[in-house]
Amino acid sequence: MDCQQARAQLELERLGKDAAPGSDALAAGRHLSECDVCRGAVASDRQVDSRITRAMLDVPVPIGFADRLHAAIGPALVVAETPVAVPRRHLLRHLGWGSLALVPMLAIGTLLVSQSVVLNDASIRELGKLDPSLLPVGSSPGIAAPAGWSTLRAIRFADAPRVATVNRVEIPLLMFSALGDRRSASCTGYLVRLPLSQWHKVPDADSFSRGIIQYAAFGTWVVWREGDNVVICVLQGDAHAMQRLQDLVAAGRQLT
Amino acid sequence: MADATRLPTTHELIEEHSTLLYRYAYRLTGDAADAEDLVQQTFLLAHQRGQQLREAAAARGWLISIVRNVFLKSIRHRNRGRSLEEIDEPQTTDAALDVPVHLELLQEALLELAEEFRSPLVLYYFEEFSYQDIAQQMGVPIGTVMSRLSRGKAYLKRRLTETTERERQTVPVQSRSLEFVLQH
Repeated sequence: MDCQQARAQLELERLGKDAAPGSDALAAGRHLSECDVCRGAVASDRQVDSRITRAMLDVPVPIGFADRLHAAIGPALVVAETPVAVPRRHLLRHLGWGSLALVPMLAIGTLLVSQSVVLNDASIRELGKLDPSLLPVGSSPGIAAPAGWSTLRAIRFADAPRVATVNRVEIPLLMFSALGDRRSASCTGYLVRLPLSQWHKVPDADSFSRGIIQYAAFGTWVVWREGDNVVICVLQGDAHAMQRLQDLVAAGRQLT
Repeated sequence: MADATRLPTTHELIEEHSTLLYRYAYRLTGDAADAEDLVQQTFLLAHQRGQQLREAAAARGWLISIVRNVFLKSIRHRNRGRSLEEIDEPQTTDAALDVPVHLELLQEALLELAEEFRSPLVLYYFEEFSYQDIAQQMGVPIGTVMSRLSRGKAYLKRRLTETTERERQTVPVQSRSLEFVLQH
């Protein structure tokens, strides 16, 4: 066995180290014990391997990465883990004919509940599936832009809000486009403003720039509180587009 | 007492595997933003397909395979790197010795390889996957994995060596300082 063959054999052994040694392996081992050049080369090769291993693992994970993943998965978990409703057939068996009397009461109850429905991240996911440009234009007065946004030249707002219906609640959307620059493309999105009571919890963030970016297939969104309102910015773009928008707004507010 | 048969929740999977998945995704894509998106899609899919996971011990391999599948879908219409035919059988050369590893160059060299070489190489160097694991991930026999690894490793070392040699000749001071940084 020559140097070339021995080193090729040793490399294969190294790759498949759990395999039982055959006659080629023994021959390669013998060659190695007799050849200083190959011994040096193999040792050096293994050193290179360990350096590549170190370098391969040297990938810094972005700060807050796991938190963003939890935030993205969180709303989906709420939906998936909601207990399954008792089948109606089962319920009727227990209640018998008396249940018929419940029907009008349930209808009235549903109407009442729909008036005070509370929205959450799952609602935003539903909203995100809609194409806002195809939604009807609302007759109500415009939505106030969030603090610091209206002075930004890179952001253009639509003249009139569009109206989306989610969970039987009409939600006005203020569409906007954020102009790109040399490093980033333009993107479009919309803003939703709700009374705090209509959102499932008080958001932690008190400004757009401090809000956690949440992901879905349609894009990203950020929720924050502003006075007695909850403001939601939905962007048809990835987290980096949203991050740029947050930076833009933060920088604009610092300047003003 | 913890139940060993209990399957992990998506949040537990994130806690345990997101770092490994991100590193793998980064090595596949070469871009931090793409890697982040890839991992996020992976966990969303994992959450939707939770019933596919039958035992907690298989979670890591299952998640890695989702990352790889999502990545393969995303590159379907792109340049897929050097194919099997373009990569020579490994040659033993002494020039491959004593190579300082330049991080950007390593990523550049990885991205030049077709995914069928890149994935097993990354998993091999992560040192967390056996050849059997890698073969299962790739859906190929273990011999094929060994052959791809052998060719891929040789290509990687040759590529790192060639460029390092060139750097040494053209910009000796910068090269040496880089070598110092990587060796310490």
